[in-house]
Amino acid sequence: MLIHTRTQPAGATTVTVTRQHAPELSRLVSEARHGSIKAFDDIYRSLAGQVASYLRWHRATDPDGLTNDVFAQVHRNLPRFEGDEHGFRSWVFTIAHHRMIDDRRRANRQPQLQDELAVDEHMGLGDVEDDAFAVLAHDRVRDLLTVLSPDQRDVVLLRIIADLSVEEVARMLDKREGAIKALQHRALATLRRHLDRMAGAA
Amino acid sequence: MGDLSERDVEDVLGGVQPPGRDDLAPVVELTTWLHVSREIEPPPAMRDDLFCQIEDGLRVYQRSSRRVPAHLRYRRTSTRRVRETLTGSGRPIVSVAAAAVLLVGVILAVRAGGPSREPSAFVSPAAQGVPSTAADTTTTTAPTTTSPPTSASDAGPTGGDSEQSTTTEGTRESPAPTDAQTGSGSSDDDQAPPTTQERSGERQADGTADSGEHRPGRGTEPQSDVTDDTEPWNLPLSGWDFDLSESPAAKALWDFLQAEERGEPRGLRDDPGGESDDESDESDDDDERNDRRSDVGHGERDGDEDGVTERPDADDAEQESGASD
Repeated sequence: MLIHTRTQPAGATTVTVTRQHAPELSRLVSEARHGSIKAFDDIYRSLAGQVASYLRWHRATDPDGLTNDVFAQVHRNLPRFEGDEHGFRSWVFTIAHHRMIDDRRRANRQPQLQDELAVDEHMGLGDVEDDAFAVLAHDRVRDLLTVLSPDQRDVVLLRIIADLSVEEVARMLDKREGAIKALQHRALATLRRHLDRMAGAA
Repeated sequence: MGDLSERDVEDVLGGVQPPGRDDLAPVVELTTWLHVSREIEPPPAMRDDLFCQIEDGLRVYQRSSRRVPAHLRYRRTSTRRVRETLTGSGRPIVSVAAAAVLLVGVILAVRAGGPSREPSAFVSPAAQGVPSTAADTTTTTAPTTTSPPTSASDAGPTGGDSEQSTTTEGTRESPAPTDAQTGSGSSDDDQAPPTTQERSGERQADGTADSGEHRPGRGTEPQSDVTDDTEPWNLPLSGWDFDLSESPAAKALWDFLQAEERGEPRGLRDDPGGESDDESDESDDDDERNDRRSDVGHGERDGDEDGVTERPDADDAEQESGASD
């Protein structure tokens, strides 16, 4: 999916989404299991960015390093994986989620300036104006996500960034589907209230 | 937020504004930006360790994919044997049992095969029907070469001639063939045992006593008597060699001749058998022993007591005494 955005922080957002015909993930997984380095490289290229984004939105201390760790574990456990494309995505993001939790625990034990470390160096789109808008939008969205509870944030990010279904998120977080639906419903209501409050304050 | 339906939630999460819900536009903008950030996020650079892991791991994986299944994989025989031994399979147990049986068999063969090395050189007194005494025991252990029992005391190099004259009569065996037992004697000893006549002639040619201990020039090794003296009782009768020393008539004749040599008038007894002969022999032995004590060591005395020919070498005598024990 190729997205071309023209985001205006104060106003409306024009989003043009063009889906690319990426290589079928299930085929790549099958080839990677049979020892294809190129197939695993394609998997990395198609999913590593999403994993890094997921970790970055969770304010991981080192999203790139954690992403490498995630795919190292994916590579180690790839021969034991069985499932389709959706299962593979769910599996990869489950590993990323666990890595993120570990990183969060480490960060709690060793407090650091995580906000300053989260440099949006990968958000550049090539245009200075777009990059500036992107940085502003990214900071705004990240601030908005802080109003959510950790569970609500996990559900929203997994539903949007990981592109997982309610069932997959429920299985991943070891919760019931009704709980996931309730969490995402409350998360959107919280965001709406917060945005309305911000709009009223402005 | 009760006005948000489940479909509206799915649309908002998918970055699509639900129709007729303009109030959700800010939220839709947020979720759309999340979608955008996911797509524009470039994959981070692959670290070297991950790259190496992929290459190495895939190489290992490729090797393992060509690997023969474990149950069809060839294992070296030694490894298999060790593993079978550790796992307690039947084959090693059988091998150990076979080895144990073989070892026991070898031991028994060594024990039983010792005297059979020269079975023809010994005569069992039991086979002759003669009651065995200590002197008889040592006498029978002495192989084929005949020598008078008194020659044990006279067996110095100077006393060989008189002994030869008596051995022609075939009175007793002497330990001269001990050389043959030890294998250190002449080549004649290694061959079929000669008759007493041949041996007496041989001794005359050598000019020494018939006992091997008197022939140091021949390189005898009398220590072999130590082991051989204890085993003659189980030996079969050879059939070609006889121990005449146990014959009462021969003993009487031998005593008579010895008495003649010493100048003691002593006639042949009418009843030359039994214990009286033994006693006379012992008395003779005592006399000879007293004579020899001045010449040789105490070990020779033991040999005299046993009735074996004397040996000038003290070491040989000690070995002989050990054999008599």
